[in-house]
Amino acid sequence: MTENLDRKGLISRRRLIGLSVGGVLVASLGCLPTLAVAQEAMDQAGFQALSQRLTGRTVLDKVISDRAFAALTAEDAGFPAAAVRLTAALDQAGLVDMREFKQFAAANPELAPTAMKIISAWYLGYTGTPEGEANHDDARFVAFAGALMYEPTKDVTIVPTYARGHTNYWVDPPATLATD
Amino acid sequence: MATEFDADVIVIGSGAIGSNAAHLLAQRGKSVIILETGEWIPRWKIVENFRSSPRKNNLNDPYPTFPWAMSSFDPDYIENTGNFHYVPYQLLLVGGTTWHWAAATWRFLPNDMKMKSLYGVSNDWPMEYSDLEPWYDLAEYNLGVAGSDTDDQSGHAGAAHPPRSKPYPVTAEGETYYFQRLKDRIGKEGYNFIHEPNGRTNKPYDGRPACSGNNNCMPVCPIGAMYSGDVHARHAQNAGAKIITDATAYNLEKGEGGKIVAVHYRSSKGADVRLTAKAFIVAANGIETPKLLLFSDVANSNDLVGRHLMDHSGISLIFTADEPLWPGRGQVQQGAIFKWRDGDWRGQHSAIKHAPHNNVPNRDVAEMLIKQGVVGPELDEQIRHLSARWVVIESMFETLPRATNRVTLSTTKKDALGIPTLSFNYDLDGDEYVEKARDLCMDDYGNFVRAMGGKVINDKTGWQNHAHVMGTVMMGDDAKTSVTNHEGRTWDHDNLFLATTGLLPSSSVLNPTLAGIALGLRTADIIAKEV
Amino acid sequence: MRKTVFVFSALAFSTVAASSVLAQDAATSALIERGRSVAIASDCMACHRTPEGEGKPFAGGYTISSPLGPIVALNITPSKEFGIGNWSEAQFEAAMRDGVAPRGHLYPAMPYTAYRAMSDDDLHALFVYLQKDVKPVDEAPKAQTNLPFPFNIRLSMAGWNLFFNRATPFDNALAAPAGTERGKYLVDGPAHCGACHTPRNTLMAEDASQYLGGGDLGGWHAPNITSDPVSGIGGWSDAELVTYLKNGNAVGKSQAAGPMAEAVEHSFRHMPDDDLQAIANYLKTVPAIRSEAQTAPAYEHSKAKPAGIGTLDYGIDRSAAAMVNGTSVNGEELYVSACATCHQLNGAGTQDQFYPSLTSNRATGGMTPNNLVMAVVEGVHRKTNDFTVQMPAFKDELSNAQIAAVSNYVLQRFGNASLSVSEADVVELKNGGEVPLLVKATPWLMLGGAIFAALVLVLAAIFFWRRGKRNTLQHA
Repeated sequence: MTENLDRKGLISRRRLIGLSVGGVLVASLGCLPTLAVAQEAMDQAGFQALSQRLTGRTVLDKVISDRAFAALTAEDAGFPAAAVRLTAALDQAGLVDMREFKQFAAANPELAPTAMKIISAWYLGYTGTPEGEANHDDARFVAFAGALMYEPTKDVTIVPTYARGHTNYWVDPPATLATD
Repeated sequence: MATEFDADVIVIGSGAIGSNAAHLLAQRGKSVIILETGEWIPRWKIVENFRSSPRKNNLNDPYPTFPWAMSSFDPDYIENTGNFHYVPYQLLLVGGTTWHWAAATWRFLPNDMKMKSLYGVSNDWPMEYSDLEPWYDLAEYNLGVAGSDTDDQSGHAGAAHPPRSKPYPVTAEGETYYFQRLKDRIGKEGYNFIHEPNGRTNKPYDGRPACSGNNNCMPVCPIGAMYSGDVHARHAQNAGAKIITDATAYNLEKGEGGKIVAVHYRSSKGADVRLTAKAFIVAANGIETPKLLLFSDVANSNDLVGRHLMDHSGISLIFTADEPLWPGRGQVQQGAIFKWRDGDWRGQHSAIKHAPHNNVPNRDVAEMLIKQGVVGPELDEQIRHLSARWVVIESMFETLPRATNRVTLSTTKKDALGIPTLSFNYDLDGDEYVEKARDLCMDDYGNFVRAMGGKVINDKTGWQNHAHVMGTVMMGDDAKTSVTNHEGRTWDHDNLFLATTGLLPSSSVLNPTLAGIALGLRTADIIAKEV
Repeated sequence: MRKTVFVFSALAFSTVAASSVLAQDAATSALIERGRSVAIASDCMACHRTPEGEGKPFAGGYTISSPLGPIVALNITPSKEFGIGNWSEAQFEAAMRDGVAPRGHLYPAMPYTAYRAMSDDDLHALFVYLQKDVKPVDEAPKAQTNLPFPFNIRLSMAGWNLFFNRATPFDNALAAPAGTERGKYLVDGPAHCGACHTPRNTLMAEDASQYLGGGDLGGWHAPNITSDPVSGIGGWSDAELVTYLKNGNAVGKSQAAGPMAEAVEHSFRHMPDDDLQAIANYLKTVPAIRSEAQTAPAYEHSKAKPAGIGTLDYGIDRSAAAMVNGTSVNGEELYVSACATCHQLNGAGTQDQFYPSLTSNRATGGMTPNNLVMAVVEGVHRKTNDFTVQMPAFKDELSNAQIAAVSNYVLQRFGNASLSVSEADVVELKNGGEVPLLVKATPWLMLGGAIFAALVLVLAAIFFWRRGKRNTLQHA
């Protein structure tokens, strides 16, 4: 099954969504004027900013970001709109530290899943639900070596397939053992 | 009457067993043709296919499936009628399924080969351990197996066992810190930690580099330290064997005196070719071998082809230990934990092999945390904290050969070459032999968790299969109760041989590939003296 | 009483005799040990081994692919029928210094032009070692040297030697251990570094004006090891030079592969540290030779320019036809999937440099891509005193076009971006590198020679015919 990410097609769809949904949404939510201008519709830059916010990273890779955005949109046409709503709600709640996300999620139960989808795409490197024993599912590739789930342990273990060092390095525990 | 043959021997299947057999025959000066359904795919491409896969939990995903060479994961390929949904993950390309295994290369114990006479269950093998021993030697040498020459692999902490005439070609790799800690704490509770002999060389061997812990044996070793069948496919080719890819054998043609005179194969491009040989080896794994025999209606006068399907069914345990162990450094598997390995109780319940898994756990850990709604800095902290403590124990049980557990041809579906697809009937529920062992296994799990101060993540996995296909073309010493004799020679056709783990008449708890290769080499040796 | 005296004197005599025999054995043992270390320093085993590698030492049969054709090393075990068991020491010296063996001239693939400089003591010790300590192997080497005409005329070596075999023996007993004199002795004598590291002139002799400035050998390039800090090893520390010789790995500078890996494996790693230090000291004094175009040392040449993670991490066409297709010539794709596993996505190698950096490496940042290509084609195999290094060979897995593509990617991203490799280059390197002018010119020279000879014959015929005619006239 070919994964043909037709960005051109998405852009034109996005414009359509942006015109119809974005404008209405912005008006009804009464966002701050500056944000209202920037967040008419979810675009790649907006998605990247949102991703950085949700994952607590100052800079995420743009190519992976665009890929994640495309995958999430391909899986669910309503995703960009939901992402816009999410951004707006986060702004309104003034959420900066993700340690406070639980309260936000409780207060915005219809938006929490969108946030989790974005976080999941970045950490796990795929969207959708991968099948373990069949070769048809809705999973889409986002990243592997760039998947955030490997970052917290990269001083100790590897991204599978990439070498770490010489044969038998593993007989010793990592240097950080005492504080792990 | 002089007859011209296309080859002395035609081998159907270029996996580890077929390629090793073909290589031996080519070295002995025989002309050999290997027929392979799939293609040559270079390692780098499979690595790319894997890294870019969105479904890393799917071991077949890096390998293409074609309408004429369907992966077992294609839902149109296998139908299951039993109470266990059995989907083995066989591969169809040059080198076969050993492209994605964990290279566990055990020898079956002498007692494993005498289940019937010793314990009253399963079957005896139609040969002694000493008959197979020199072929285990050769197989281990061919694969560059790393092992311990001092372990008692029967788990009784006694003298080295089973007996060997030569040391392992490669010494065992260094123990991971993870394994050392588990052995230290769980070993005290009366469990024997044994090194698992493996085909992942830890020193350069036969042109392959040493393993340096890329931790990806399944589904593909990115550097080729881990043995895969393409090694001997290439050796066979360099020794003069001819490999024809995109060649799916679908008919073994019978001739005078019950001999097989030809094999017919089809290609995806519409070719339909007939090749003749003096002898034939079907080495098409435990699933495709009976399929070919059934479709050709050969070797099946006693209606046993495809029956007695045995896999190593099992369960597993995931828990977090109370200290950082750091799985993910080194190889994915290193050893076995034996308490129930061999004893009189095998008449009542299965033996058990526990295997700690050393995979980089980040994906499983992160998936769990995200499902629980953990985000932000806490997500990063917990990924690190839990990954350091993540313990996975995978356990395998011995299954008994049952005539109703079988592989048959589908009566409703065909592939793009017009060959029927497969139907499995595999029943496991209600099997007391296995269920009693599972109860004991759960006790062991409790002990493991307690010994490690652990917290269970999942101990209710339900039945899992391990794609160790055995019994489907069972060997034996009685033509009424087996498909081949001890030589792998079918009773019905004296120039038709089978080389597959499907020959194994009892399953024990050991990964069967090395035994399959040893048997295949022994068979090739016998053929070399006849043609 | 007489009996006692007799017994006593017999005992005394036998003790004296025994001690002189012991003393003799001790002297011979010391000589043999010295000979063994000379054999190691001279790396006899690099050539005088069996084709299978391990196995019977010094039994010969191993084929050296010289630019003039394959040359097979002889059996130098003390076998009387097949080896040097019947040679006198004078004959041994003639072979080692003059390149003349009892059965005829040797080709300078046997580096007698270098061994000529060995001291008398060392040569003597080597002879004793070979005759007394090496096990005789009573088998002829499985192949024999048979160069194409006219190079198979061994007598032609006599003229060549006259011009090019001019070194003088050096008495290294005077050289202080680890010192530069000892180093010069080793470099020019037993270790014959110039045999590879000095380029050859048209007649295939070492070009002294380019001493240790770098030479080509069967696809591989033996780099400039003069003291030049940019083109040579002037910027290396002594410790790095010693480590390189001992393990074949100077982290961030260079790793030994191909023929140098063999030299490390058979020779340098067995040599005492003093000698390696001496070589390092001496090399630092060798007159600097600078490559014209080179402005920075190979290991500083590139600022690594790895692509972003999003480009190195990518999705693919997952149709079956695409997933089975391994013919891509996209250098980045090939690097990521075939090389980055060990050398890492950013080309920096692993932290412990077990898998070396490509960004700080002579093979990628030097003035020639040859070693990079050869490493990809043949891999690297090097046994050290600690473990065996192995980079697999990619010649079966990658096509020539793919090898060129991935090499270019590495050069662009991690090395000397002004270099490039074509598919034709890969083919040429696989075939042993550029064919020397002497070999290329030989057919023309032979043609020229034949035409000249024919011309001479024709003129002679005309001359004698006319002379005959004149004589006939005169007699008329």
